[in-house]
Amino acid sequence: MTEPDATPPNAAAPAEPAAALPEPRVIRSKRPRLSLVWLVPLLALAIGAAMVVHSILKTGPRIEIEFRTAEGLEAGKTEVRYKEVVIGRVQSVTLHDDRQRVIAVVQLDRSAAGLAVEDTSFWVVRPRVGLAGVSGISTLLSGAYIGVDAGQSSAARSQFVGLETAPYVLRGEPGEVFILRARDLGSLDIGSPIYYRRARVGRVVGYKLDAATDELTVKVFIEAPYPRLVTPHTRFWNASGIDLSIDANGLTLNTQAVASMLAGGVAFEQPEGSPRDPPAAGGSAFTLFADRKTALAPDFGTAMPVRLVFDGSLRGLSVGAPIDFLGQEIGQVRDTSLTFDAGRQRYAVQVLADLYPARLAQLRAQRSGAAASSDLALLQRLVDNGLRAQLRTGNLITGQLFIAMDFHPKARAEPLVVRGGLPTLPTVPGALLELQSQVGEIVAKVARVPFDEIGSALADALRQADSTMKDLSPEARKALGETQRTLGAAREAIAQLAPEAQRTLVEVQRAVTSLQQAIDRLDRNLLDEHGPTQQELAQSLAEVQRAAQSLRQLGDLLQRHPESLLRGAPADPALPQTGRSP
Amino acid sequence: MIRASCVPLARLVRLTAAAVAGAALLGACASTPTTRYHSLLPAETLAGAAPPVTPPLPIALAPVQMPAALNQSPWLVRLPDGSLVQLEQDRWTSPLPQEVHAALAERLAQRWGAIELRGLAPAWRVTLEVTRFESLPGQEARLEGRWMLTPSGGKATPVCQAVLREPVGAGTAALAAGHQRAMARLADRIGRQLRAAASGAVPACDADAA
Repeated sequence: MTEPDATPPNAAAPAEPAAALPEPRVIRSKRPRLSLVWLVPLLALAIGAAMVVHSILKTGPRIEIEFRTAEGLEAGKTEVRYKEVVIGRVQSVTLHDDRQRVIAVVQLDRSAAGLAVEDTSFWVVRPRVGLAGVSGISTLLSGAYIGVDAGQSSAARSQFVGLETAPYVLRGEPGEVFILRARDLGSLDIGSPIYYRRARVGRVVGYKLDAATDELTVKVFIEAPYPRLVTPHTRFWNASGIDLSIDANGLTLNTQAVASMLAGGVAFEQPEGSPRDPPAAGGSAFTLFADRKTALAPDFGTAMPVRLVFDGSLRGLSVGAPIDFLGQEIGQVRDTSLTFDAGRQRYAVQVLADLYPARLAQLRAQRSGAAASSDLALLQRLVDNGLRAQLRTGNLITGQLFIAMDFHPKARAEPLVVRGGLPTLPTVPGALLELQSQVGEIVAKVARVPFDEIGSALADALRQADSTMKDLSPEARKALGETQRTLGAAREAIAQLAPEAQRTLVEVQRAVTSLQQAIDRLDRNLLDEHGPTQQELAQSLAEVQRAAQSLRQLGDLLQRHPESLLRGAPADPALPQTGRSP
Repeated sequence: MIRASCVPLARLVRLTAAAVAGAALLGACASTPTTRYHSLLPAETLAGAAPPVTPPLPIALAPVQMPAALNQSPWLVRLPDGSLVQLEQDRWTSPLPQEVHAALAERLAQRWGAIELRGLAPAWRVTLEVTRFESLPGQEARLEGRWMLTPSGGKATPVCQAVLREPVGAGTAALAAGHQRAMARLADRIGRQLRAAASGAVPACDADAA
């Protein structure tokens, strides 16, 4: 039905006073009590529980490590890394009861549970810079961490003593450790390289000076696959720095790699002629020699001390100078000192040396006889045959001397004297003294030559020659005639050559004339004043001159009136009309 | 940032007005006074020119030596107080040494028959050195010089000197005319001596005459 006017429905019954309000109709909904929004906390709870379970499952054993200082260790932050994999974290750092050490409680992961065993080592990785190398630089940014060297034992352990520095040989690093016995350390240090044929094959990992036995041992680690290069006959020597020696052989300079010059180093090599041996077992001991020369020196066998007495100055003979026999080194000088020879009432120098009879082994074998077994007897025989010791200059520049043993048949017969257990070898004066005596002999001989008699004999001979010459004159004349005939023949030959020469001359003349003509032409064309070339040149020069002058004037004008570029030249000042008459 | 995309109209009008004014000013200043050119060669033959003497005498005229300051075209005049000023509007047609050379050659050829021509072997060589060439406006034109005559294959004459002054009127044209007259007198002197020497007389420097 249409309602033309919109009157409210309840306006139709305004008369009902205070009618009761309609009751609301309660509709109970059928939805569950819990709304969907509760899923959110439930989900969070579930995730949290899962994480808790996961972390519980992840935790491994908890260990305690003792360090001397907690520098770099932060509770809750410092990690424990094995081969750069984080396997644990430091939970707390506390002082030990005796306040000498620090205990770090570390929580390891479950996957690293197997690391908490008897021979595992822990240490703090901090940046280390040394001549041997630089390590741990990344810890400057990331902070220090605890490094692990896993042990192989199966006995579990939870309390460890941390090392102050990383162990120099990590377990499991392939290679072998050898021991070297040294007289002194030289400039070796932990980390010094080991060289074989100047290639780095290992490093020094430790040294120990035993105060009780006064022994210095150096532990070296040769990395795989080089340990098989070390055989029982290998010689090791200290290759630090520069090996410079000046001796009878001259100046020798030996270095290993530059790194060894700075950081010290050890080198090893098989001496020549050593038999091919199987590799040495790990842990074998070797001697560390001071330099390459002593290391590779062939074994001379036992030394036999001898004594030599020399007259004159022994400046230049140093300890260690060789004793040379026919070019082979058979001994070394050990000591020199002064001695007084009572028999001859003069001072002499006594040299104590070591001879190595083993070097004369061949001789010994060849000269086998009844007394062959005795080295002394051998020496005696050699001395009887004229073997003497003499000083010779090894190096003229440095003046180094060495002792040369040689046979001197003209030497005085001297026996081999044994005094105080030391055989004294006889000596002869040095080469310079010999030279002096020889020169003296020559001068004496020259003085004895009768020069006057020779002179008069020469005069007689000349007179004789003169008379002989006169007898020879007809002969001479014949020879002259021969010469003249030869000259005539030569002249004929030249006359035959003349036409040839003349022809050549004519040719030359023609060539000269044409050259002259060419020069004349040149003269006319280029150098003639009135010629076109000259005139054109003169004209060009005049043009250039004018151009230069104009440029100059322009420059002057601009200098005086720069505004003339825009405004043009300024007007001249008025000139005086009349002046004083001259 | 495009900020000045709309310049106010008043500002634009002011700019154009300034530009136009500037152009007009520059245009006005662009008019330069005209340059006048002078030459030492006179327009018509000067007085004293007689028909040339025959036979023609081949000579060689060496380049004229002049003070370095005068080796240019613009005029250098001396003011009464003694200083020199360079004029911008008055110039010689060619640098002064060349002008002197040309004037001398012309006068010697016209009056004295001494010809310089390429291709003619010269009988005499004339070397002139001008020591002074002063322009005093309103007063005089001064010319002082030295010269020497050298026969080809003979001994040179002694060096002669001349000091010539020509009084002038006002203005630069009068100065130029004065210089022309002085130049002609100098050329006559040289020519006289040349002819005397060529005819065999012992040449001597004649005193100030003509």
